[in-house]
Amino acid sequence: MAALLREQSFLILLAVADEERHGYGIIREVVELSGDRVRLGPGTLYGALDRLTEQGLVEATRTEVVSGRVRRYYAISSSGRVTLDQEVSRRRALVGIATTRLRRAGGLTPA
Amino acid sequence: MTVVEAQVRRLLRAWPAFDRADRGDEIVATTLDLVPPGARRLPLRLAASLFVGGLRARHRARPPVWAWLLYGLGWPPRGRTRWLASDALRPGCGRRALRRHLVACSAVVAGLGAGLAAFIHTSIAPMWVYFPLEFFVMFLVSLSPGVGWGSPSLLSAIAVRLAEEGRPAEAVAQLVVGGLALRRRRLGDDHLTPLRPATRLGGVLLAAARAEEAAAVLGPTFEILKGTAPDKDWPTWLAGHDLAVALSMADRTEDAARVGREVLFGRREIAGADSVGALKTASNLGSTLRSLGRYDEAIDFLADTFARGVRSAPDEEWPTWRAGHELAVTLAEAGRPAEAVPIEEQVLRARRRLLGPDSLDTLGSGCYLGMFLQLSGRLDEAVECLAETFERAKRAAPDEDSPTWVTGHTLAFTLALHGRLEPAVTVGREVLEARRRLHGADEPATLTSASNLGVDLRLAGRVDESIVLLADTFERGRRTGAEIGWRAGAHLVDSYVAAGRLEAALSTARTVLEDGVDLDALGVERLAGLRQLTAKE
Repeated sequence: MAALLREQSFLILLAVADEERHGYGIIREVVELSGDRVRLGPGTLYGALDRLTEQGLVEATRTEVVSGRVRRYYAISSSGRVTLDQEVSRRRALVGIATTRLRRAGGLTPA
Repeated sequence: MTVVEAQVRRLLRAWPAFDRADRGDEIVATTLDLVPPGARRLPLRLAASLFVGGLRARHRARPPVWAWLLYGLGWPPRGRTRWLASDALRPGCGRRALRRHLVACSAVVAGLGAGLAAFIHTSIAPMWVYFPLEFFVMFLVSLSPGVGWGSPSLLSAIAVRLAEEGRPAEAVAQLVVGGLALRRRRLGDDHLTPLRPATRLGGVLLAAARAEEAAAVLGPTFEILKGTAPDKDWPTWLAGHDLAVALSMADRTEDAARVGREVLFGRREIAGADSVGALKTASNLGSTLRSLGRYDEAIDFLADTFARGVRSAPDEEWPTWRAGHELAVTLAEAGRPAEAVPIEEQVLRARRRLLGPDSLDTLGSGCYLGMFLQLSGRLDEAVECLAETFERAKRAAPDEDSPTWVTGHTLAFTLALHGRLEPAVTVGREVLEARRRLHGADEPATLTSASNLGVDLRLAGRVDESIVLLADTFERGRRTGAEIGWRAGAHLVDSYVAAGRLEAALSTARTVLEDGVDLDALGVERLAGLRQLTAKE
């Protein structure tokens, strides 16, 4: 079974799941995905990208220079996609259990 | 370099050497993107994130003992690329490698000896058993130094190190080719393991604008890949694509066009003519042909790429809308600015939709559209477009020369062409102050703005102000050897003539001539005063 993904890693994988993005693009996407709850700093972003790259979940696809600024693009790898699928299933199952328990305890109103 | 960028680069020293070499510019660019427009200092949150991230990266880069031992024995462990590369990038890596090699071999042989002693139930193996065995094994290992140095990760790192030390590009190429040959003997001809890091290395060098070295690494890599994996976009055709970009940046445009055509054919073969990869290569090829002055071919390529992009990837800035922009620029350069206008208008609308009205690319499109309108003689529309772009750019990107201050410069020039000299002077002064702040007073861009403003001041009847500014620009240009200084000198003669100060005009004209400047080569149109005075001489 794959190791659990941290919140930041999960959001970064989600950010590059549909298209390749550069560092700033990933940060913006993570802000949007998390409803403005998670704002990655550059140190946190590149630390997480290092880990994900070493684990083979993300890969750098290309580099270009735009208006004098270097942009490297990152995309999810095939094993990253598998890990993301597993993480989504795990979270979905957890939400299911939590919903059932809260209903049983009378803390969640049925939709 | 701005104050904020200097702060970011200082904080980058907290990161390991390899991270700085491999992605330092990328981290700087991302951090600068996060800085709010107009900020004069790096926000504390970003500074802390950079610093702490660097310390964490250093901590992560420290290897466990087993990895260190394996490395010392000559087998760089898998998945430790960043640490290996960081080690190779620090000075004295060869000396350290030898020391590590000796210590690791001793440790392993001593361990084996102790194991053997335990196996044969001897309490302590005599020292004379360890040492001859140890030195014999070390001797055998030292006979094959290529075992460790042939590793692709280490190879890439050493090549980066050599490139940093300014060693000739050929040395880097030889190293890569030699290492690749070694790996191919061990892994087989069609194994991609050694070729992928070589392709990445080329990308690293390219991103660092070290085009010659990137071309030296990517050239042989691409040649091998074409034979071994012609059906793979990564790494084969991406290596070719990057090679074409590197050749183009290194001013080897004919070679860039040849490789670009080959890559385009390859990418179309495996993914189709409408694939994003093929469109990107075609767009680059069009730009390369333009720089060769082969406008008709460039326009054909770019028009085809743009049409395909609009049809198959209308939401992709790159390649679709960048190809459109390149097409418009090529048409304008080919003397067809009127045809460039509707294309750039289309690009501008798309970029506003996809990137937002304040992105640098969108603002750049606004600037170019203004230029194309001006070149087409539609001065009212040009002024309107440039003024709107300039106002927006000043708010969104006050520290970017391009597009913000380039737009202002073009606006001032267009206003002067239109005969609206007072507004031209106001805008020109604003641009000059901004460029002095961003680049310093002696940079060619600043001197160009000063020279244009000096001319506009004279035409607006403010001859004394014109003389002060042009004299200063002339002196700065002479001191720094910038060509624009001599243009300012010629304009200064005109201003002296306009003020009736013929002695000063004559003296300036003499200085220009004594410095041996080829006036015709300057292409200055307003040389009437200078020629008249030198004829009197």
